[in-house]
Amino acid sequence: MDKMNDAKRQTLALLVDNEAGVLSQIARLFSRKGYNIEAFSAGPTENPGRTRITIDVYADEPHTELLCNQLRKLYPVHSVKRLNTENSIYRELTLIKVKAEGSEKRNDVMQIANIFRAQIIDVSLETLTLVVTGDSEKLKAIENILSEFEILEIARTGVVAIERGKATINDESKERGEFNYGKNVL
Amino acid sequence: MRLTGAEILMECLLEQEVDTIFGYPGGTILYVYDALVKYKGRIHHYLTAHEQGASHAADGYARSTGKVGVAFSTSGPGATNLTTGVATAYMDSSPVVFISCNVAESLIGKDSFQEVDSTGVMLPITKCTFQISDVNKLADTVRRAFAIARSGRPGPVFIDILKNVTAETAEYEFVPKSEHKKSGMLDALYNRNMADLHKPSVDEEDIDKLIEMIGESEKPMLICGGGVVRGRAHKEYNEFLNLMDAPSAITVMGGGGMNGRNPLATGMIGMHGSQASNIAVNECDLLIAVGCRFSDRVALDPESFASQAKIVHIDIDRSEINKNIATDHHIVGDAKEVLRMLNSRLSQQDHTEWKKFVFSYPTETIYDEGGDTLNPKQVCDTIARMVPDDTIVATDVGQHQMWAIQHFHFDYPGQLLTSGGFGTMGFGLGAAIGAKAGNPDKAVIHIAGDGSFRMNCNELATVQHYGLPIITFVFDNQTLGMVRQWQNLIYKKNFSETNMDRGPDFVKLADAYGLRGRRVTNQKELAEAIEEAMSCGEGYVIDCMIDIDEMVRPMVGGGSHITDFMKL
Amino acid sequence: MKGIFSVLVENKDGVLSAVSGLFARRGFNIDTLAVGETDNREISSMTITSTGDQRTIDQIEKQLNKNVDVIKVRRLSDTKSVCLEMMLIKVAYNLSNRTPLIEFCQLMGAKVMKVAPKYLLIEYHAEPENVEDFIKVMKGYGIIEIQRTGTIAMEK
Repeated sequence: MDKMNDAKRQTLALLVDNEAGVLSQIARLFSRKGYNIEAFSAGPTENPGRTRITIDVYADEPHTELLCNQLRKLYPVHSVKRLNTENSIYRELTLIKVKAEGSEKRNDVMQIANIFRAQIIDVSLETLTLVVTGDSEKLKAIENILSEFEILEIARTGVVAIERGKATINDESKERGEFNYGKNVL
Repeated sequence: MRLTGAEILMECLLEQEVDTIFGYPGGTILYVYDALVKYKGRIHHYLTAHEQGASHAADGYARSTGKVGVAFSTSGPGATNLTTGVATAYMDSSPVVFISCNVAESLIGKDSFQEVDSTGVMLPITKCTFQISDVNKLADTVRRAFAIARSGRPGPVFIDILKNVTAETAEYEFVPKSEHKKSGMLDALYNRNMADLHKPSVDEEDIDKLIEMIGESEKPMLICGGGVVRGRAHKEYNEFLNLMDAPSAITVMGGGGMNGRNPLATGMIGMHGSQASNIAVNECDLLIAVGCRFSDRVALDPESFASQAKIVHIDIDRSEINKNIATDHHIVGDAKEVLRMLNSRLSQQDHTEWKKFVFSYPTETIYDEGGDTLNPKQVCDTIARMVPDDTIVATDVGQHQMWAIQHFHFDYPGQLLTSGGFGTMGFGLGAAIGAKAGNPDKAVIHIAGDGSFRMNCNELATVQHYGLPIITFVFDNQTLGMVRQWQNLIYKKNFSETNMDRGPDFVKLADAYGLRGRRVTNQKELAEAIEEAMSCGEGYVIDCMIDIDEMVRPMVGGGSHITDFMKL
Repeated sequence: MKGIFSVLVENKDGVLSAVSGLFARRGFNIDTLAVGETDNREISSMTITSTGDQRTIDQIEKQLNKNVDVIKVRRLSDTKSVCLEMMLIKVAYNLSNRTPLIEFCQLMGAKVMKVAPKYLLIEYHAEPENVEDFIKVMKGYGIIEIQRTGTIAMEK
């Protein structure tokens, strides 16, 4: 099986223990299997003991399943869910610093910002700093347009995603039961 | 009760009913060894020649007794010396708790003397690692480590205790083993999936579906994997096998999972599998694999493996399902439980025709009767004839390992100790020491090659000191036989760096360690040597001279179709 | 004190593992971690926040700089930088508290993305402290699920 055949961008949502070394353990699993993480974002949840992680990775269908299976096996991992654009909402946040000297250029940038509903959070004589939220395509689009001016710096959060509808990451399933069995018969 | 960290560790080991430890002291673990003296009589410590020996001994102890093995080491090189043994235990799912101490908290992260990121090193080769920097969490973490090591699919767990923690004191309260799951972090771990634990753990529908599939099958085939051994499900497996009336192969790890003398046994499967096993797998219409992960040495070519069959995978580890081989049906659960459920619903099957077909192929390699020299089968047969039937066999890795598994019959879990997954040369002697320590009433033999034996023969010192009557059989062909075999077949006889035409003289080596030994070149001498070895009551080395070009037969090349036997 | 690091790294496998391993190995704690692409496909940017004393934070910076896959490390001060975090959150509501909930969101500049029969799906981005405060208020309504990006930062 060639990893790159039919590979597409996959989004995984993980709920893990908030402990030292957990991120490293998860990152290592990806590198051990030879997968490059495209985007990774980890943040606390409403429960102080848990961190929620969203990972974007290029992989084909069977390998994505394998990765999920390996992740589920790790002790600090509580649940793993695969998300896709049909069942989930994706958002990403970007900070972009653009060179805009002179009032004319500044106005141009501000107009573009308006179209994309980007906020301007910092202005200096030579630069403007914008914040934009949206899905990856929107961010790509604004980046492209702004590249006409000089982009000085970009920081992106990586995607966060959440399922539409009632489903949450805590849902039970048969597969999850099977994992817990293997993991926790003490 | 107020105790030091080191004493708490000892008390926790007693909670786990640990009475045997293998290890090697050093700077950071001194407080622990200091406390060990107070527990003399209750905890027996084996001082090995090298940390690697300790790691294999703890592993061999665990594999042969079914209990959790324990090994101690100091920080830095002590911990890294353990790693080969840790990885060996990990690949073969052996429950061992490795305990090492690291430098004191004030020195961590400063590249101090003998400091290494032990938990970082161990992370990819253990089920779980813990670093303990708070003495109040020590007892709880040790309990958790043992529970994880033996739970589900067993495996090694590594605990790194900072030196200051072993000296600091904390309140310790005895908690009996049965109460552990209600205490501390384990309680949380347990509670996390409470709902699941209350559910019947094996899905009844999955069982029914398999029963249905068995009913439809005319040519079923079974594979007994390491999961049957780890789950100690040999009785259930034998019953299942007889009900199925189908041929059954073993994997390297599955040796001892079924009665090796059962007429339904086809021997080993895979790269050096018997013709009967490999052909049966290729021809069957239903393949039931129990506790086997279809490694590349078993399945060889995953695309064409058992291509005519519906494949059913029974495993305790969900992530093994569909990992190497796409399956048609799976049951997740403990082998013992799944097999018991299957046995209670399965009616007696009859596959006379199919058996006749499978057993028309040989289940064991056939050799020419040599003249006055030894061939591998003769060595194995002579040993098997002379030692008790329940003798524990520990092997190293290479040709001798394959010969041992091909020609010995194993009947119960823990009878065969071998590094199947990781292929660790030098595993055998340590494992034999661990097995003898755990099974003082059983005979233990160590099967080695000259290459493997040379790697960790330093443990003869341990054999001698503790008076362990382990007989080492060296299949001495003056070469790295398995590598030479590949060079012979695949690398155009370019025998690069595989000749072992150098010392030591193993008989003199045994003598140097205060043991007896003998070199043998034919069956008569071999029988005499075994006689002497068995009656002398201490360690003994028998150097069995065999031909340099002897090969493991049959052989199927890696990645080839399972019945494409090479011409040897 | 809090350390905010903006790190440019090679976009290849094993880098995240190396960087997070560095933190684990030295006993540094990661509070949040965000990895995103940059305008250059070969380079990813990471923002890492960590808490520790001055010496620890200095050490982290030095160790990061030492890693071969790390192209550039920038330490940001929270006063001279823009720090932002985004989250998606599902909050339960009932008929009586729906209006105040939506009004509160408008007041805070949070976007209500979806009004489902039992919950609202809200997107909110702000400085990390404000995100914390927002979550505290939402706890009063009942949080169903939450997902935060981790902080990203840029010098003003």
